[in-house]
Amino acid sequence: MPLELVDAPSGEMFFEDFRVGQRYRSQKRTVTDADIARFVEVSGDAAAIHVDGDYARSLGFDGPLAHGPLGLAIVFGLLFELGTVRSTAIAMLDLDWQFSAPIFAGDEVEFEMTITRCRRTRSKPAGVVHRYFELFNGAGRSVQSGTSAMMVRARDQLDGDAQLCADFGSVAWGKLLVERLAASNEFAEAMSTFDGAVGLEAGRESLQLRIYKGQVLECARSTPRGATFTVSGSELAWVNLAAAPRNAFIARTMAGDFSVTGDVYEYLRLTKALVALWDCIRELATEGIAR
Amino acid sequence: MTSLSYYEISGVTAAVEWAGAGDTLLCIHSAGQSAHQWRQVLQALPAEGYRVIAPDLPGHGRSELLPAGPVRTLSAYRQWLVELMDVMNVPSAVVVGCSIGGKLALDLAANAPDRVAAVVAMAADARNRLLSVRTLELGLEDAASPSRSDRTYYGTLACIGRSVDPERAASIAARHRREDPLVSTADLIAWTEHDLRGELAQIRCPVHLVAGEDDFWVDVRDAEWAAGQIRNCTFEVLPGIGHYPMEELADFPELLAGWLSEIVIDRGSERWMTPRQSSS
Repeated sequence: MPLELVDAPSGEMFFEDFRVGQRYRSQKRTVTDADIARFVEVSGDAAAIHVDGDYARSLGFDGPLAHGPLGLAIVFGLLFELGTVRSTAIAMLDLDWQFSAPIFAGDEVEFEMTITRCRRTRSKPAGVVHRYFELFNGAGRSVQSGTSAMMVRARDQLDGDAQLCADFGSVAWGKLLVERLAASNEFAEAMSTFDGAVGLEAGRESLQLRIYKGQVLECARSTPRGATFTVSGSELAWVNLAAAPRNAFIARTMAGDFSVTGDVYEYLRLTKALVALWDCIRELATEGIAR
Repeated sequence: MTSLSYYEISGVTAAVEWAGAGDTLLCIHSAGQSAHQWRQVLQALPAEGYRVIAPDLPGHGRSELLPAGPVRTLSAYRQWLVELMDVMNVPSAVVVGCSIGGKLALDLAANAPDRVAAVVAMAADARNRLLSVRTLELGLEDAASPSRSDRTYYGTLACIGRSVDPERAASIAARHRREDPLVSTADLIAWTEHDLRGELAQIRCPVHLVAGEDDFWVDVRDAEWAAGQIRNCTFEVLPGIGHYPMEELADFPELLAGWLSEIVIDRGSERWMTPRQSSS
């Protein structure tokens, strides 16, 4: 298992302590009527659906709904209670959030967080950590989910590139992957009839591998004639497949974790090559984490 | 020791592998495959007093294609199986099936109830939500792609359970890639389009419904829901097993014999030939 599940991290974490695939589960917290009332005061959002039980029930809900951003705020409050980055966190950098089901007073919520990318900042002793969050209600149903990156202090001026091996979709990662592909007979043989470029996209990072008869000629952000086809997935999908006990690329593609654009039939023709490609990606990730 | 017999079914030649004497166990294979999937059962269940019959569905294994070509509806397969039972003089059988075979077993129990004494349905649900008929139809046009058998090979590996030895898994996947892609794609269209949800309540015979924990083709919750709709049904999840229990498990015959001893009553008697009345 290249990646690890951590239930209760202890102590302050610097950038170097984070690894792609680490997974945390928060404490539970019960959302109360008083929470919702206070959030009305703080935000000024006194919409009837949050304050008027009869109105909410007339719309088919069991009672007033907590504000969506209250759930989000609770995630970051529970995250503070984890205590891992109280003095090392520098800034929250972005947020992409989905509200998939309502939260009501009385719900006992908790979240799970997965580290999906770790990238060292070159200009100062810090790094950027990408996180995927999923918030569950007491019945175990996912009610909110999303991603957020934070900047966190690093111990050293510049550490090695251990985390690069799981920096999926970046060109620097791609160059490490190309070294492995060059050593894979399975990949070379399965690609022996291909002349084109394969795009790989993990979240917002993407690269193209220009390939001729099994040999990768170039790894770059873009290639002159573009990708023949591109395999795309969220950062979480990449992490989950890299961490899976076996190469489940086919199963996870069928389940919708990955999608393909471009010449889909050429992609299908190269099924064997893509399985070999994923063998190399998984090996590289394992080594990166263990280093 | 098993035997192979040929019959004329729906006007074309059908191959049936069989062994033993006694109460009939009708084994139905999965999409694109053939009676080879029941090799272990054919070898072992005669010792339990069963006559095991395992047909190759039309267009599969050694059975000829029907004149209309690959079959695209499960009801056509059901009619073909009833005709086979008539020709082979089988008034009633315990039906064991996997995947489309499992769904066919449930369909036979719902729509030909006097021909089915009990059912073991594996990797079966009432309605599959995963596949798109439109995509499968495109797949029929793309069936000549040289990588089509690679897709079957890796797709099969992906839906075999994690507890299966990799060498055994590779040998199962290698057998599966010998399919006719036009036939197996038509099978998947038949599987996807056949919605059994409204018919499960018609089933009166005892049923054991089995789902593999690692089977990505069938959502365990869908299979459990289907089991809940059948009056006399037990449900079991096989840990670490995927879509093909009869091939994945080296001790499958013992497991099957155990299930049968739970659900098949009055072995060898006249009454056995008529379906058990529901307890509810």
